Amino acid sequence: MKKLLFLLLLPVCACAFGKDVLLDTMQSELNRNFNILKQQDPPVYYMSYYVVDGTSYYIAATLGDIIFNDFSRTRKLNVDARAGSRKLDNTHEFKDSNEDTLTLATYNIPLEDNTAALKNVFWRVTQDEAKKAQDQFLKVKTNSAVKADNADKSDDFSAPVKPVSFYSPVKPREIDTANMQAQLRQYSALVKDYPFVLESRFVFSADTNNRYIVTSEGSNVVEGGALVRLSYTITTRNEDGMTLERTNSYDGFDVSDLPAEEAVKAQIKKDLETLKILRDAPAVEPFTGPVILKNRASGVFFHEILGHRVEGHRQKSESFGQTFTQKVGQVVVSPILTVQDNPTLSRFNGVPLRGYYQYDDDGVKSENVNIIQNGVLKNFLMGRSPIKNFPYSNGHGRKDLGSRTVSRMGNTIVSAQNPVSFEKLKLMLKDEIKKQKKPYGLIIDDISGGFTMIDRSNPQSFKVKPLLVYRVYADGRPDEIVRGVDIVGTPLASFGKVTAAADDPAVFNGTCGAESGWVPVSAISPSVLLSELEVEKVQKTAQRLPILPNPAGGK
Amino acid sequence: MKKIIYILLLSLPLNIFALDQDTAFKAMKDEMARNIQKLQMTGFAKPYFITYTLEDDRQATVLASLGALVSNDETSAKKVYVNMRVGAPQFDNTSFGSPRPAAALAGDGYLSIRSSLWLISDAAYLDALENLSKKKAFKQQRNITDMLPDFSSAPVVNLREEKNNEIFDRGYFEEVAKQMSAAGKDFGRLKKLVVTINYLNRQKYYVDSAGSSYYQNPVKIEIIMTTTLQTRDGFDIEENSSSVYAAVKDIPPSNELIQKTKDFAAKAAAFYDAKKAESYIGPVWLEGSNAAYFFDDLFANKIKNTRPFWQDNDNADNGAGYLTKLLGLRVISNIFNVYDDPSVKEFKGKTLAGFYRVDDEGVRGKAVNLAARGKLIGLLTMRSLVKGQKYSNGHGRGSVFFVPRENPGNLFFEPLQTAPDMKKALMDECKKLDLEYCIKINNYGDNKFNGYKIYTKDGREEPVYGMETYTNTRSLRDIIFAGDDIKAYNIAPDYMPPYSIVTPSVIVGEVEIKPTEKKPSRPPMVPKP
Repeated sequence: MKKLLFLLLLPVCACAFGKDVLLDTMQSELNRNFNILKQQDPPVYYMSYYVVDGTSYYIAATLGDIIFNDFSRTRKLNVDARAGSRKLDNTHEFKDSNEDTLTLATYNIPLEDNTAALKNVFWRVTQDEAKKAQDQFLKVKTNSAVKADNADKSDDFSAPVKPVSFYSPVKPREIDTANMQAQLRQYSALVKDYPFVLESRFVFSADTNNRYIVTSEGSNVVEGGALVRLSYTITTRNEDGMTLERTNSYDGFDVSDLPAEEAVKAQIKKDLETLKILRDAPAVEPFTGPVILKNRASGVFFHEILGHRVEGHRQKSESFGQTFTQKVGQVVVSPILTVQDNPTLSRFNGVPLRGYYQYDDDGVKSENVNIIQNGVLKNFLMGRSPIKNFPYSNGHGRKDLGSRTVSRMGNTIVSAQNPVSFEKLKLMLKDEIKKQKKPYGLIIDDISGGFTMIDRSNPQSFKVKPLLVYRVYADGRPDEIVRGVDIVGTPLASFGKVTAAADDPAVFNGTCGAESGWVPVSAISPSVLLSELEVEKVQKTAQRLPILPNPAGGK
Repeated sequence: MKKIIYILLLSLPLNIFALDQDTAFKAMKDEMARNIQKLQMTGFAKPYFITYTLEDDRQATVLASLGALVSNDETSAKKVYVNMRVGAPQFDNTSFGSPRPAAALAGDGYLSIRSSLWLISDAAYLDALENLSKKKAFKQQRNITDMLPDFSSAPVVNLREEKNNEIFDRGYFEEVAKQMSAAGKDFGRLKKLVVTINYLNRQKYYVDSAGSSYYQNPVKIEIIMTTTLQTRDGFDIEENSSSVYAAVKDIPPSNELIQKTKDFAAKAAAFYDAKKAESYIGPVWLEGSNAAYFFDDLFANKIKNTRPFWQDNDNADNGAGYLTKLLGLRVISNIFNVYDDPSVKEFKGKTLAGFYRVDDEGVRGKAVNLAARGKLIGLLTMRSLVKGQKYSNGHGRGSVFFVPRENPGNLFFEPLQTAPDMKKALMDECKKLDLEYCIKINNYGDNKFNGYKIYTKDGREEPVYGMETYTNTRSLRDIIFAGDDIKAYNIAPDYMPPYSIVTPSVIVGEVEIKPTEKKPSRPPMVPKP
């Protein structure tokens, strides 16, 4: 596996691709435009070109039949022009206004290395974006003058970084689509035996993206990345209208990272059987008590509840809750916990990590950031928006096409002191149930995702959506699958309740959405015991079960 | 480059999960049989008429700019949709509110098609029950007694059009698009020149509970040219040209396409020196496709959706046709007869996009005389009838986005007299009115356009930008001349089935034009590379 990864991601010298016309054109056109634009009034003091040259396969199946079999190749461009000065520029946050300073227009550019056509589109787009930046800057200037100052008076853009040159594109892998279709047909056909299933979708996707980043500070970065994913969602509904689903995904850098077919089939069957049980499982009433978050579920929990609150730009913007802004050097979570974000890791215990990258989307080298050490807040994830006492990027400026960068997570890694086996952790849960005289505790086995509210206009709370929950009794009764709960709470109250952790760290690979778009991320965590967590009833649909039976019929 | 593009080539590699006709029809008919028999909630009526449609689409887009390929997407998708009637033919759930078909994606096999139809039939039935109860309440509240039947019967029809042999050679069209767009390089004033070729090959399967079925395999190829430039005095101008073909064989050979693009680019580049429009009242010449877009805007869009849907809160059904209220009155110049005939496949060798033989309610599409010497004498109808109509004339057309409503197929604007020299006719008319110049529209659409002044004295043409007008159906009656250049133009709306307009160029006797209020932009700060 490692060897294959090495082959796939091995930096390829320019000679393997020949002259890189796209990179050369980006550099020359950026320099030509910038040299004139920096002399305008107001000046464009910084510019970057960001191109994603991508290929994408998407195949989907249901009930043994293929729904989609698509391939696309695109080259898309964002131009980030900053007008004004580092102190105050067009990206400065507007106060009491809906003006958006993060969105960038995305342009399709020639797929071919046709210099004249490429130059023309870079020129045309640059003119439009520079004018927009200048217009925006004039509005920003007035807005910042007539509104109250931020407590944090840091510049809008950090000091120039030392220019870097990095060239590591990857060649798109040819996917054997016929073979993948055959696999998906087999996987999805397994659902035919379970007529209570209403809908199911089995998807294979493979994306190869070469990111080209050229800046007026002299950096040029070409970093390639390949991601493959096999995933499925199987959905049913209870008599009372509650939607129940099992989802699963396998991630990698290459098809060879995906598990063997028999293992996937076994997991699908297991999930179908679980779904069958879930359909008849009792619904849980609102509850506060001891809970174990299983490793992958815990990863999602920490990503949502902690990770987004330590993203640097949120400490400056006064529209955000700033839960941790003034808490550097203080204990903010249970002292047994240490949290890092390390995008430089490509695998954890052999499992591919989607949050891996060498250079961020500002062209800054990624760094391992110790966010929390033994419960004490040490650092923030930083892009190029400086904040008080944290003036430099640590390579966490990330974005999707269509946005400017903000600081984002990559691979968030939670570790704990004195870990115990999961069995021991479960015994500790039972002890806690007894100690608190609770009728039961919960094990949150699987989580689909969640959201956290970080704006000041909303309560600083979170909601995480479990997919599979067990009720655990202290009196020896067997664990029981239950349904219909969401985890809710407030971050500061919840983080202190982690009392122990297991020695079973596992990876949750996902895609994170925030104001700079969707970015691939990973969260790694052991299972953790919380002395108290609150769950509430899920929102459910008002839909009945279908009148006629499933035409699939089943066994 | 040769014209014989249909034999060179490779097909789209998307048919690896093609659906065969027998499987599609069997899945639809099997699911239909049990739904029409058994789909019923206790205490509620069963559906009495159900339609299933399956669209198996293969699409490709080729986009090129200044000689380079920018995009070459290929997609393939199958979708099914259901329309359902609950109640009785005299009064059912339809023609009320803003209903939408229930729709879902389907796979390439029997079971996934049935499964999708199963779920959307259930959803459509429940929606229909709710809509029926709302409609009943509305009828009672408004004390409506003068009712027209919601449903009329029609003979059962089972037809299969031939599966087409159209092959879209992506490699060829990539090359053509590149060469076409390369024409932009010769015109330094143009900021961009983009050529887009969209291809759609649709296999459409229809089944209804009355026993009708239909298979059609239409093709749509759209070639769009777009260019932008800034005039000498700083106005940003965008010029477009779009041609829709219903068969690959109809596409002109590559050398003609390239020449057409050069002409388009030259014409657009000439607008660099154009002057801003001034206020004008007088005759306007709509040449070629501009006449088709004019009729599309003012006639096709206002003759469709004959029967207005009742709307809760007495809101107007904005989609319902304005002209349909004017039956028996003159709605267009008396130099025209107008008819719609969806059964016509070609006009002067050009395949018509509006061809079909069975509509989306399982009724044969029939020819309808709409206007005689300008007077409205007929309407497009479907199974839901309007006053004075007994049967559907097979114009119930819908899509995955919209329930079937009265829509055109092939609209023919037949001039009863023609002017062989339209420029002379225009200039003579302007002389009569003592005008210094007349106006020829370059790119009709959206009431904002550029065009040409044609000087009465010597016929000299001068580009003008920034014209705005507010045309209304009055302009249809003000047509004073029709040319002898009758041609077919295919119209392909995004969310509805395509149709065709067959028309000559026309001159409208009086149009009021005012200059745009739009302000110029700063010129580029950096010179073009």
